[in-house]
Amino acid sequence: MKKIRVEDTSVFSSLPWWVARDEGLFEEQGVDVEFIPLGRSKWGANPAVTDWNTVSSNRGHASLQEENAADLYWGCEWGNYRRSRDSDVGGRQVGRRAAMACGAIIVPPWSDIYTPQQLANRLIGVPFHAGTHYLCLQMLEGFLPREAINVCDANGRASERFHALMNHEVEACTVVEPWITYAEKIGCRIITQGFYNGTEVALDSVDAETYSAINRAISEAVRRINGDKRKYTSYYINAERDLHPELGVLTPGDFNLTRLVFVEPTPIPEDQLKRTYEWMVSWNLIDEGQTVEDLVNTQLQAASHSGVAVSDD
Amino acid sequence: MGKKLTVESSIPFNGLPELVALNEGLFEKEGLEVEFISHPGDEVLPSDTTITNPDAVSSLMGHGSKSETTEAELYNACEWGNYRRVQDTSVGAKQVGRRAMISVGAIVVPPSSTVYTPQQLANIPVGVPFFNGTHYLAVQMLEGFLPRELIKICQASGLGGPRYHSMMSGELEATTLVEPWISAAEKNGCRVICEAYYNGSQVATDKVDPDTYAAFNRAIKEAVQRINADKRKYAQYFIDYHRNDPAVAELTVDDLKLSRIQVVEPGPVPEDQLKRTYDWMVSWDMLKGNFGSENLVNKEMQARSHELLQVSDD
Repeated sequence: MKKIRVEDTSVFSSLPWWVARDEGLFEEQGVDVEFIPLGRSKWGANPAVTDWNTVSSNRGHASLQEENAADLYWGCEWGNYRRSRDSDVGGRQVGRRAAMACGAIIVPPWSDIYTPQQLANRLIGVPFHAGTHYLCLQMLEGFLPREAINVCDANGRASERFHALMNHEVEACTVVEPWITYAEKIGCRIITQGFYNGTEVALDSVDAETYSAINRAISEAVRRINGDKRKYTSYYINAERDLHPELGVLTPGDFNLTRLVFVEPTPIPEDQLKRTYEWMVSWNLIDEGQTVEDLVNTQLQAASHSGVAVSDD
Repeated sequence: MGKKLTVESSIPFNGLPELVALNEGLFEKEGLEVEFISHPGDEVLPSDTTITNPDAVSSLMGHGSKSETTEAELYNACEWGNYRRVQDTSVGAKQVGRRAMISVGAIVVPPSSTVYTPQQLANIPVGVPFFNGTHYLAVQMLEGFLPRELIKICQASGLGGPRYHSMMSGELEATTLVEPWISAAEKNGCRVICEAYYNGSQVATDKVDPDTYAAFNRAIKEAVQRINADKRKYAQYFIDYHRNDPAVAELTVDDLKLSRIQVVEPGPVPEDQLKRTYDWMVSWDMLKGNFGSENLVNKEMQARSHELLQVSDD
């Protein structure tokens, strides 16, 4: 049985992987997947750090891969462009992940902010180089001139960003599930929300046959989740409950199921890749001159996704 | 009864406090006789993916239409649209302050859509109500995700219900919705691609004096307090007002997200926000660049009426 080591992160981006693991879907495909937890830290936000280029893009996602302790990881697409560019071990994207993440900018109950325009020059805690950092910029860019969008670095875990918000370290922050639902339940307000793609990044040691097998398992997990989303909300409630007992107040009925969106893994469309890359260059989130091949292992992506399609027939 | 005020009618998503103030006798308590006048203008527009230029229609076809005929002295609509209406008015109506309702709008796709993220809306026409809130909101929500030339919008009804049904019947690949149709769409398997809140403002002709407008806002303020104290009770308005729409009739209050109902006390339009919004609209050719943001608000009226509103708090 082929063995593969993956970085294990949070439920909002990992649910199909966890369901595939817990329901024996990887084994069915003849793959032994080892989940290696990413580290956790307790800090909240750092208002003094506003330049994302002073922060390593692989301090969270990719940190294990860069040490050759993991073969594959998933993160937001924007961040993975940057991490592929920054990788010292040749990690490159190989396709889009199954979880369509929902991210939101929230404010505490006492805030005087109600609309995106009112976030002008207000400090927003975001996880530099992770999904809602980029999502935040994109969600606000139509509402505000770039110079009035004021973000600072905050913990990669939504839980710590949420606590930084409630501790008055920042005036707004980005969160993902289950923290969007929890925040709403205790009276915080969503200012704006959007969905975003993520991708998977693999070392060259991952072969097309293995990645195809993984994606077949993930596709089955997606079908199961989409078949009964309410059932799988238990993952959102329980995943971090030992660390954050307050999540125990959530019930499956609290979740807006339309925020839990999963699709079968696919290649990254080239037109979307090009637009995203150009947008990132315009914000100095990545440098100019990167080619598609620098950011995506197109050969593995093509070979592995054709494998998914064939086996689905 | 004292002063009479004629106001263009609102519906819950943009005027819940006005409806509550009317139904619970709060205007009367302030010595005001408020008459609401309906404005059917924009609701009859069909979805049409070939009409992509808002200037093909009038900014005053819906909101502002009764103000233009002098049948109404005051109306409430999204702030962006009101900037444009103040530019286009032939009766000199100007903004006098922000309304109480903070509306929520969303870009929604039907269950069968292959669109999941804002980036994937590149070159896909989004049906919007020209010159109404979610027209502008759609553009602002998408502008960070897409180059301007790939943001496509087209004409759709001024009312959320017809836009929802137009999308579900396949006429539109995506559209903007407000409550209760966001909830109806979610209940029926549609997906929200992005969602955000927006301000509205009130526009008055010079027939409205500061004392009257302050009295109107005192009633609204009381309605806001009542709504915030029991949102669940008032969520029923969103269903009852649109019960003739089958998609809404099947909703219960449990289907509505109370966090989407946001109301605040009326206040002046902040100068810095006004200027930024004006500049953004000019950059999209939604306003003439030479009109001047200083001409969008009746500043004297706004200042005096809100001063009176504050005084009454003491």
